[in-house]
Amino acid sequence: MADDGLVSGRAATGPARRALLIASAAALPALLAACRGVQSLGTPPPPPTDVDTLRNAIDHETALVASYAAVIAAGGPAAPGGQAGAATAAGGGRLATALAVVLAEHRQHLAQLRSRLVEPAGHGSPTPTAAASGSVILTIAQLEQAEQAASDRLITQLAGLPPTLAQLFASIAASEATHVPYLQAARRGR
Amino acid sequence: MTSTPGAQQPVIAALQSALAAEQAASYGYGIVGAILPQGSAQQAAASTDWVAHMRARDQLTALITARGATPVPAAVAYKLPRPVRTAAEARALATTLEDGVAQAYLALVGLPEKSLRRFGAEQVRAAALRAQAWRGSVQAFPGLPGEPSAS
Repeated sequence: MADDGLVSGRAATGPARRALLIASAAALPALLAACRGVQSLGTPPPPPTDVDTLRNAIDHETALVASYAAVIAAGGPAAPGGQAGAATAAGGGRLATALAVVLAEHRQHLAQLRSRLVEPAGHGSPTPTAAASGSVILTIAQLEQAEQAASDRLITQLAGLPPTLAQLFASIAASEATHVPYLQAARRGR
Repeated sequence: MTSTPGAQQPVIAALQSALAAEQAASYGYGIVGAILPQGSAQQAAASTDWVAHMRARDQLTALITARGATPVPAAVAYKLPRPVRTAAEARALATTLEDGVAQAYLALVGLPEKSLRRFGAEQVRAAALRAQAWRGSVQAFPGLPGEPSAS
């Protein structure tokens, strides 16, 4: 890049050429810095897929935590087609307890997933977009569907992950699958 | 995937461990089923789970044989962790068996082979679901020894 500038300056004569050379020399550090900048952006490979996969899992787990927190804050899950908190009357304290237990487990999942993510400073903060989606009060059936989907998603993402991360994904997938019958039992008051 | 004996060694070891866990579960569920009330829904559940373990045991036997190794045969009898005389003790044994199975399958998930990872993960999930039904509660990290603490 810097060479191009000097070569094109060769055609100029006298003061104009000198001015151009000075200009080129003055521009050189900036050009080098720019080159270095490009180089430093280009040298590290694009983020490995396992980092993307982990970030994605963190986003989904964050959304689940937000969903449960919103349901609990609203006093219970939405009744199908009804208002927030309507379903608690049926499930009673049993359901409230189950929701709190499941939320606590998702917080544990999230903490473990986040602890595996090593990112440069400025990255890795909780994702507000995923959290915001949890402000909708879901029905208990929707929570169960979200658990099953989360479990299935994790199991399809194991290939290529580092072994211990794959094991964490599989363990969380198993835990989330068990939330489905656990919530169903609580819903029926069993 | 390489098929050198060196690369296959951890694979065979993990498959043999899972097989041993399934053999122990197959034995243990026989006791669980015998102790639970005759004709009860719980005894039927124990029977269903027992079949699932025998099926998994056969799958593991096939996986080991396909890799040119010999499946380690089951023991004639297994020492139970605790005496099992009541229905509650039988349910506790079933839970313990499932936890052991889940842990053994999680080792398969740590292997690089894609199909074994998937198989292991599906089995960890199946074991966790059975364990959940027996204990009536949930766990944050099924199969992970010494569950990592929160935050």
